[in-house]
Amino acid sequence: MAIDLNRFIATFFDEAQEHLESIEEKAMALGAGAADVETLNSIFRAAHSIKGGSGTFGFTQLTDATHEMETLFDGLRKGKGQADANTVRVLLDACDVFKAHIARLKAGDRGNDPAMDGVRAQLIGYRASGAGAAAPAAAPSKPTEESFFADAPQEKAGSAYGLFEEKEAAPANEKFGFFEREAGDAPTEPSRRKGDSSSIRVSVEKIDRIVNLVGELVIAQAMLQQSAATSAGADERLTHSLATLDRNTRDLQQAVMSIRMMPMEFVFSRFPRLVYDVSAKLGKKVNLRTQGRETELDKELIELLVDPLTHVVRNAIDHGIESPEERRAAGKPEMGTVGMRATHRGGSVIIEISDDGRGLDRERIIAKGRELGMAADESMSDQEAWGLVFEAGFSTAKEVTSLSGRGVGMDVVRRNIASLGGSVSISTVKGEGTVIAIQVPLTLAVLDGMIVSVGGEQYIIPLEFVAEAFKPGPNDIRTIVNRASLVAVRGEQLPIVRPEPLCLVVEVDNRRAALLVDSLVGQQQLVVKSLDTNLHAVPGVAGATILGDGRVALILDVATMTRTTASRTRARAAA
Amino acid sequence: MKTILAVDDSATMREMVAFVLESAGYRVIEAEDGAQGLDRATATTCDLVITDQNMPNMDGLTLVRSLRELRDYKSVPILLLTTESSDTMKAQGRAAGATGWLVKPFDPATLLEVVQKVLR
Repeated sequence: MAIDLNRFIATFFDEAQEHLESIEEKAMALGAGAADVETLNSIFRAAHSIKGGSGTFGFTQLTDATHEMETLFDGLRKGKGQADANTVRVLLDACDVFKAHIARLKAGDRGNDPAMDGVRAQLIGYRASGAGAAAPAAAPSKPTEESFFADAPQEKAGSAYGLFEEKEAAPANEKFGFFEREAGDAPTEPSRRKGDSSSIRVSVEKIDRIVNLVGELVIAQAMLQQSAATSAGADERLTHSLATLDRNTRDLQQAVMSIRMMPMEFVFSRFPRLVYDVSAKLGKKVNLRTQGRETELDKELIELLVDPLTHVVRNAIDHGIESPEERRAAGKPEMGTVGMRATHRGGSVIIEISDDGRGLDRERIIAKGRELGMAADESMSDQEAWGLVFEAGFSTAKEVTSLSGRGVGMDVVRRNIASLGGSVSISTVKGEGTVIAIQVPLTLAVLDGMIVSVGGEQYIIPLEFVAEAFKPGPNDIRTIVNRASLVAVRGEQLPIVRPEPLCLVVEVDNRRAALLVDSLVGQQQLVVKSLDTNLHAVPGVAGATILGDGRVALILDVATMTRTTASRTRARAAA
Repeated sequence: MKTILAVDDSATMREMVAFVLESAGYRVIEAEDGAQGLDRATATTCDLVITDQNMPNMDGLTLVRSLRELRDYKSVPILLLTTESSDTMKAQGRAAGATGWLVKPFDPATLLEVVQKVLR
């Protein structure tokens, strides 16, 4: 029967990728001195699995090279030889080449890959040099490239399978006896694939389509609710049904959102390798500790977090952690620690990147800020001083040249996080270390918002930024002399009389500001609609939503609003 | 309809085995390692078990031995998937109580052929 195994190639690539990541992670554990049998076993099994799969698809170079890795670790797990720093290096190098090779295979390039020959030779050479020197496992069986794509059953060698007989018999007899009997009537009725496995793979597009449709449904439901509330003839049954609909819609929305959620594991798993490479390059000793790998976050956000986190972790190693000599002199252990921790807090996820390095130097930062022409002086608060680090252009020359290859500074990190509706804050103690906390919403698709009314228009303020709301008394609002709220009307200065406003205190990155609004309309979960495709980016506007009455309301970008206000105030104070 | 339990820690292998066998009209139950295989085998009595050898939690040989201790599995055929067809492997497989072995990688036709033979 003709079965096209190509349909399984995608699964194999995904799986191989996972195995390689697992190998890297275990390799890092080896480097940290955890050469226990289970670690060695895991590496062995991962290599073994890749070998098995690649053989099936005729990826012979991958089969051969992973076979060597497997043999090496088979030896090591059986106590032949000792895993050391060299083993880690060899393993990581091999993983890099395997990844590149798999990328080639994915792109349809089945040609000879010289790098794979190199890695295979390296693995053999390394084993020969003593590590894991074991009797090589049986050579992998090499199918011809097209063997399994062929329509007709291939002529099989007798050893492809065999049956043990009840009585002891020579293996040779078994397999021949077996082949001589011909299979008769085979059931050929194809059956539907039964979903016994616990998960299925679905494309992100399909999920996003459902998310969008549910979003529309939520809006329609809100409209329905609103018109029922305003129409006089709403009876009890209608109200009850609408309440049920409301609950179900909400549950449905949450269920759909949870499909898009992925554990932070997907991000964290990349970092042991990064930490290893960066610290090796800088001659520092760094141990990575991750916590909260199971914390879930929207898939889209997870992908967008990789770059900013990479930068922050690099910085922590480059600028935070001191050299082993320096650490020893300061009475610290030579091995520095970088921590990554993800936790849920309300509707947000907080990712903290900590290091036990030298901490930020307030004086140096302020001096540097001045040098760069920024509004900086000794009177600024610590938070304001740390804030300078996030200003554009505030990266030392050393940083640009050595590690942050793309020349990304902390300003880009802050901008990226802000564009996700999140914020970044720093806390640091000189000599003891620094913690950078990144807060992002769980998802970009829905938002808990406070609806406010200003001048007849309604605006949305993301609830996470709202600290409090109060009605200011007559003496609470003061006007700075040079910003008097007077308006010149035909030569006469008239004080501006405002309708009694409400104050909404918002807080972003430890910066607080009071927004004056006419009234609070209510709180609601809203479906975020992007403006990007329709309009140019408007500073201070993060997006839009459709309210229950069908009106469009703008979602305010509180982070940008408070930041521009703060820098304006500072510039004025400096002038 | 005959039920076959496919045990392999590789999703690629499981999907392939399941696809080939289901296309041929068998019902396939999948398990990711020996321990899960033993669970599934206890929950549903299968007509054939195909298991990989190297797996986390419980390896293939242990699974074969554990199954043979169950009354329902005294005479159910069990095939070992293996990357090598060495004499050691065969001796171990036979001692554990496996019915036969199949070398990985295999093509769909070979898999079907051996399955049909042991199930006849």
